[in-house]
Amino acid sequence: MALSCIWFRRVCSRHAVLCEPIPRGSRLERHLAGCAGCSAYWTELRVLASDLDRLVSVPLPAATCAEPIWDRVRPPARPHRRGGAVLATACACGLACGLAWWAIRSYERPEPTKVKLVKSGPSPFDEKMAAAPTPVPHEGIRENRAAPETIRVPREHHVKWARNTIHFRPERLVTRESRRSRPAPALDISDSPEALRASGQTFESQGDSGLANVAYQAEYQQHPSDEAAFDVGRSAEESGDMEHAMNAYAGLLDSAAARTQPEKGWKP
Amino acid sequence: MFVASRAIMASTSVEQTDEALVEAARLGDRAAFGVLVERYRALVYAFAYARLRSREEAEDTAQEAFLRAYQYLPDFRMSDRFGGWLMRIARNLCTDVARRRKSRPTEELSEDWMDHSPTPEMSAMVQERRRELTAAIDGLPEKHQVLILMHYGSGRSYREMALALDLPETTVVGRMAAALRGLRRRLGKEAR
Repeated sequence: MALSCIWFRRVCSRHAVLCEPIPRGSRLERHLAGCAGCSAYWTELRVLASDLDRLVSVPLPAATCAEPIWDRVRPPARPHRRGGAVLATACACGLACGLAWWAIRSYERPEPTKVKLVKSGPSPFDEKMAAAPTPVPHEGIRENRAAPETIRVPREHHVKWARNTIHFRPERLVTRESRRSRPAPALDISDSPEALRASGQTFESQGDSGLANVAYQAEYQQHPSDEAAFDVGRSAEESGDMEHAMNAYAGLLDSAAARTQPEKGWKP
Repeated sequence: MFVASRAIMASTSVEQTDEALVEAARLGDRAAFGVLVERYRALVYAFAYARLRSREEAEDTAQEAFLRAYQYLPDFRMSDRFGGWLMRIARNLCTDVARRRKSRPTEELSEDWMDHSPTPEMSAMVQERRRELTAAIDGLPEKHQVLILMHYGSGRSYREMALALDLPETTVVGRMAAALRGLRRRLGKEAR
């Protein structure tokens, strides 16, 4: 038997099962017309399907087959594993409550830091500076300029040296984005020394030590003083320019030494 | 399976869907469950008979299947098809029954077939042919026997058989064609 005959017989069996006629003009019809074996096979299958349809029958169920069901019926069973379901539900509820509590806690705004205001005195450095004699400008400068006016740093910018004290600077709490978006104050080095000092303090409170250093330098150039020199050094130190800071501190110490030491040389 | 179930559902009832009847039965409406029983009784019985080849056992199994379905209706997921769920219960019950009994009974098929043979000779020929067919069917694998008995014996459609056996309809048709070829081979051997 040719392979094509095997394939056509399989197709024939599907047609016989579905009780479909051979499609007109199809390859199968042309093959059956030319192949006696397959044509006989197709006839056999149709006869067999017809015989099965006619001769095979299954005994029908009794008419009362369905009725006894209701005699045996009990109320629908409660879903088993109910205890497990209740337990699972309780666990799920507990988990959900925990998650909700955690979510609420995580979205709460943090309370502002409580600052314990402690009345404290000036730092040891301030005390040392206060104990030092009043800065005396150079002789040459004294003639042309007025006596230096001591400008005190506002009290809230003092570093507190008391125990358990946090220096609270409200500017630090603003976000970096808002700080960046805030227009930077203009620095004019031709301003008065007071204005330059105030600008330096503002820059410093905003965390811009570099600009503060520039302001303090301008102030020092207009009005040299130990305080201005110290601010120059401190701001340079904060901005990371240690060399500049050391120079400023060295100059400050030199001028202090020149004031406190007696003049060298013999004077009659 | 869902397609077959939906088609049966549509063909057997246009008033109420299986889902609506199941919902009503869950609330204690016995009449709704009675409609479901009436809708699927013939299919469950045909399948049980094809598997067990015993009328009494098939009836008992069909009853047991409906009883279990009613008892476990609260567990039925409405996303499933009731027909498929019910036939799964019936299949499991038939498997249990077939496993329990030692040997498979060889009950004769029904004698209720219509014999319109005009002469005694013709009647004898028909009876002989019927005996041959029964013997050949018994020699087939069980999966082919079930298909032949459900389709030719009980008149179930391929869609219903697909639902009962949890198979695609095309697979059922292919298996049926294979069963027909096997039957023809057996009849040819017996004839030789």
